Amino acid sequence: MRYGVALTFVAATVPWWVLAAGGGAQEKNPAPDYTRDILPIFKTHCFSCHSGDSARADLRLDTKAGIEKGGASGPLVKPGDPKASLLYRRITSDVDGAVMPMGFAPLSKEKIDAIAAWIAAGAKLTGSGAASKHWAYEKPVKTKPRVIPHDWWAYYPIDALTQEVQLKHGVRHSPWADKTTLIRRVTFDLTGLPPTADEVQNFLNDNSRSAYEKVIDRLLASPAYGERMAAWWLDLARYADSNGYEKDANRTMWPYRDWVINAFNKDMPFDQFTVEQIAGDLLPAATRDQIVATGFHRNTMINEEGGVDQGEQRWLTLVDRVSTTGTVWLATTIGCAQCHDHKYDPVTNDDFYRMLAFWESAEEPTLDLAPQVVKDLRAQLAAATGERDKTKEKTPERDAAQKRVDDIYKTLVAYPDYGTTLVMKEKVWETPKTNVRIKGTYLAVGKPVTAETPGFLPPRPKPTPVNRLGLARWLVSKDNPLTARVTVNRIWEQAFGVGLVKTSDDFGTQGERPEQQRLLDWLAVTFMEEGWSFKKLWKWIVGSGTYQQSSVCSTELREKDPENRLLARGPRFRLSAEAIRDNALAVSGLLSRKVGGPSVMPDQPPGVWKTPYSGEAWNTSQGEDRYRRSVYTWWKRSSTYPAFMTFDATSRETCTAKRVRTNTPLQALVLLNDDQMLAAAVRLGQVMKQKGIERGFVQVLARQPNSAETRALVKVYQDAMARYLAKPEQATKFLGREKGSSADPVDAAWAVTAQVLLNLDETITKE
Amino acid sequence: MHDDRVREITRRHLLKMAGYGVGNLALASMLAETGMAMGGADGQLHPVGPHFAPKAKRVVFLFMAGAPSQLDLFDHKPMLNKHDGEPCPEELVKGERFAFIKGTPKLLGSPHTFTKSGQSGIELGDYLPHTQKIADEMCLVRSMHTDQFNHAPAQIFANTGFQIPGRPSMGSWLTYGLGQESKDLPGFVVLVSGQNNPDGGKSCWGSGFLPTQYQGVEFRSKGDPVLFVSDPAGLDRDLRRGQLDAISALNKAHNQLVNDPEIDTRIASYELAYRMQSSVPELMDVSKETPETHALYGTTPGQASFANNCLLARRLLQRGVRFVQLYHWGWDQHGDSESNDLTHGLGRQTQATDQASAALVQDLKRLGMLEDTLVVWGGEFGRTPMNEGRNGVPFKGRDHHPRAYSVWLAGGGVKGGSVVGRTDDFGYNIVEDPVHVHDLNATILHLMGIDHTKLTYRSQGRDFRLTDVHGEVVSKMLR
Repeated sequence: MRYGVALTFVAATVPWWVLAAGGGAQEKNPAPDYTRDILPIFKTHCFSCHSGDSARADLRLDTKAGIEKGGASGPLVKPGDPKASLLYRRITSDVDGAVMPMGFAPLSKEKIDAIAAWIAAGAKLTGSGAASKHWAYEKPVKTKPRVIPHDWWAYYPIDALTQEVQLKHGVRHSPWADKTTLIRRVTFDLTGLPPTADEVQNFLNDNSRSAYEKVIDRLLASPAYGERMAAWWLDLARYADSNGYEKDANRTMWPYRDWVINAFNKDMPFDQFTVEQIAGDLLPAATRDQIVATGFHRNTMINEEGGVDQGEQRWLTLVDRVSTTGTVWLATTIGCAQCHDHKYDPVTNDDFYRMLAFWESAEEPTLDLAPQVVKDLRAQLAAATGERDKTKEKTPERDAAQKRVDDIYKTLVAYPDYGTTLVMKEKVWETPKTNVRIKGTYLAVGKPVTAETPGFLPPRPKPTPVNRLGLARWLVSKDNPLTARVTVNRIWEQAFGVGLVKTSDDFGTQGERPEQQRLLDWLAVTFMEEGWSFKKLWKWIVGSGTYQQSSVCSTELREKDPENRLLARGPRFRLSAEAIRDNALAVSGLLSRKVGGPSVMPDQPPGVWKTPYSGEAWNTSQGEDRYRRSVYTWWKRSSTYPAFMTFDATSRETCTAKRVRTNTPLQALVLLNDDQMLAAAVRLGQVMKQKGIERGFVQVLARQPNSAETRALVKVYQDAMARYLAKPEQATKFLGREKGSSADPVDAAWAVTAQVLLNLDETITKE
Repeated sequence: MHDDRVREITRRHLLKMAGYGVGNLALASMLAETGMAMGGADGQLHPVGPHFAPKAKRVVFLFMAGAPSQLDLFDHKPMLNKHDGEPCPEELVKGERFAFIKGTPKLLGSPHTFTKSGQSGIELGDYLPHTQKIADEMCLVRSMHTDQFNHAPAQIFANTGFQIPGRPSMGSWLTYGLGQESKDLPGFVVLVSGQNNPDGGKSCWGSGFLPTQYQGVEFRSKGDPVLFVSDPAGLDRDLRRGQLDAISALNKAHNQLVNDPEIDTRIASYELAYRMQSSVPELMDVSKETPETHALYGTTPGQASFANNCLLARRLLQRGVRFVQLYHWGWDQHGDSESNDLTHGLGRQTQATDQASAALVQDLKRLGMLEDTLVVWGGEFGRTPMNEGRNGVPFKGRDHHPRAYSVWLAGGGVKGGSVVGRTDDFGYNIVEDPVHVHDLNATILHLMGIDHTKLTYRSQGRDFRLTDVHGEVVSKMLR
């Protein structure tokens, strides 16, 4: 059955019965227009060799002068005569060597015909330009979904919009997912955790129309939501607990991570979330939290090798900040313009350095988060220690001083670790400026430029200051065509595995033009209208029928749409590295739900962390800190937690906008043999020992086993039992790693059985 | 029914399988049959190699982390000895940036002698007596240069073509491009020896934006040879087999319901993992190698050393691993202390590596594998012709020098007994046939049958490649 989610604003803002305006009539065989028809072909197929200063065969197709001049082999076109034009000959035959584009598939017939027609029409290098504005640089517009009379599916804007595209491709949506699949899916999406057996049962028992909405609201209100969202954002923020490069020394940065978790849990609007991270220190009467937020751009790497040029190191961090800002908010590869104008997108070399200038005037201090009382105690401790150390001999004065030291120390250690964190602080209150670096080389200092936002996007809203605060306000200005689209697309990607724009890290001309643009824009505009609320955005998405579809897929549909781009079924894909570990700990009952605080070091094999010139070590955390959520795991850049890396996490040395998903034997080895996974199996085995196989099955998969499944698990148990009864010392060995587990063969046999459950494809998959 | 569903497996899943077990050549034909072509991240079409008949089928790269001193091992400069202790000519060092040298440095002659080696008479330092024996197999490049002058960025640059971590390494590119031969071992294996990991960390063998199945898998000398490869204590092989059979059966049954080829891949992954659990320990156990072999390499079974890693490298290559990379850390002879000078420090390094490096070449030749196995030996940059003399210490040592250094190659398609490039009388600048890091990498790919300009992967709207937009194949290195 369908689970409706009452979204009152939808009815208020989208009169769903209103038909969308029809598209204009298609022109037939329009005359080739250079800007609209030819330049995009050059960009996609030719620029990678034939552009810029180092163009192959001296042929530049990225300038009109270059096209007019031709290359080493002579003039490119003979206007009016395609067959006599080198361009046409090189893309159609190999008489002069390889067919262009060399090493790639030949151009399609349509493209070749377009070029021929363009040459035949005189090869004019002019264009109306009207059709040439890239879709992503136009402001998103909320269009009304086309509604089919009497179709109850299209009740919901998201579903009406996905259906439009589906009908065009001749496919229909899938049936509803069953309730157990749905609650497991939505719980993973909103909290990164599985539902408990009780949560599943409550949902199954609740036959009210609002049953599903209650689940959504409960999940969004859980602190686990912020942790799950942070795990996503911290990849973009390249958050880590070490500096990177050779020494890769540890840094204290967790207060920033906790700020992110809190911000998501409070549902801080994304515009504010942006402003505080880019320029929290510049806000009037900035709070401590707002300053902590500026840690976003302190997550850059630091190379502490002895021989580095400090000025160059600092400059590299600024370069990283420009690239990261471009990727995170604009999905634009601004970093490509460090050495030259962007080859594909309208980002100029100057744009890059104007952006970079925003960070030139920032100081980079460390913020001590201890309250005054702790700072006072520290000062007293230092004074008392000094007093004590005045003399080496044992005197009554020294003894008294020693006692004072001890007393103060005792008081001090009773306070928690407040931590320090890296932040930004504006240095000067004048327009930040920098120098262009010629060809991107640090030592080649070029002309001065002042800070400004890139010219190809709408200007900075007035009045905003020319500093990071102005930059931040510009990023989240409602005139900015990219930020909202890029952001809703990322959340969609989290839910469905693929974004509406598949290239979620690139909305430039080389990125994918979304077939579902109407849906993307509907989400983007609504997101802004409704106050940039992630919780609302999630609710629209997971409340849609599109999301609630079954992920079971016919062979026919899979052949037609292997990646589910038509959204005619629910998402089914492997969980993230963090969710896989958290799931195993949660279903077995090991997971600690402690929120925040310093990063922890769960078990990892010895000898993994071995860094030059560093005495730092992986000291396995004790007690519940061994089993904290993965977002709290120490992120060592040069030696990232191996179980995470195996499941496609990244080292976070630089901004990661998109993790790939692989399926490898090394992943099997982690799930089968990692100590943390074994600990989970031992604990889950205890659950099954006490409450039976079915209970364990439900805890892991949120559904009842069928009889074949039960039989298979019973057989594993019986085989293991027979073996451990014959060799009880093996049971001791197997359980010995988990202190406190008795060495009963029964316990070992249950643990062996639990391992099977934890290794199922379904267990590590959101279905 | 589900077992013969090959036809409906999507292109994406075939690509995933390419990482393990199915070579891309085989894959290409499968794809051709189904009318699909190789694709990058965004489904863009890219032909993936080999682009022409390869000279080498596999590579073993002996990476000398820390930067060995070319002036004391490979590039003899009598003029340096003649002018030892004199200030370095102003025109050489004007405007230069050094890692540690301050002020006007003094020239430093090598404390070591050199010998014309083999029939080819290549002059090699006497700290490399074993390497001298393979002079006729090697192509010595004396004109290497790089863009980076600190260890971590330079190592990452040498391996990935970019100085900031995050791009795929050469081994990842090759595995991505050529797929993999071995059915039960990864295509790209890394072995680390020396006191520390290389300065560039695991980024040196990372897969960057390529899927992680292409990243180098570290085989370790201590603990689990591959992380998590050993069954837990108290769980014997039969029980493990029983678990895997149950996992497989349950996965298959579930797939009847949900119909996702990803599950087929997962089942295959578990089987490969199971095979690795026997193939890896078998591989790591060198005790059955003959005494002659151990004498050749200077190995003792069970030891963690560069020599043992060389022997393991040969075993990996024999089993079809495409790219084996050894890292040996500790070549950073600044002369900042006596133990890290050009005699004690450098001597310690050469003693640990010289015999085994040469043995690997000799052993491959003996087995008839050298013909199609490429051996590469070298570090991330060179060392200065001037004494560093940090803080006025009296020891002999050299600072980082990106302008000129030496590497050698041997085997698969390389012109043995040859020298490429020449430096000036002080070894400061290159005067003939400069070979940039990108050129070396282009040449290595070329020997593997890959045109470095065509092995690309699309990320963030751009086609990336190992050699960025640079690199020329160095034909003088080719046979």
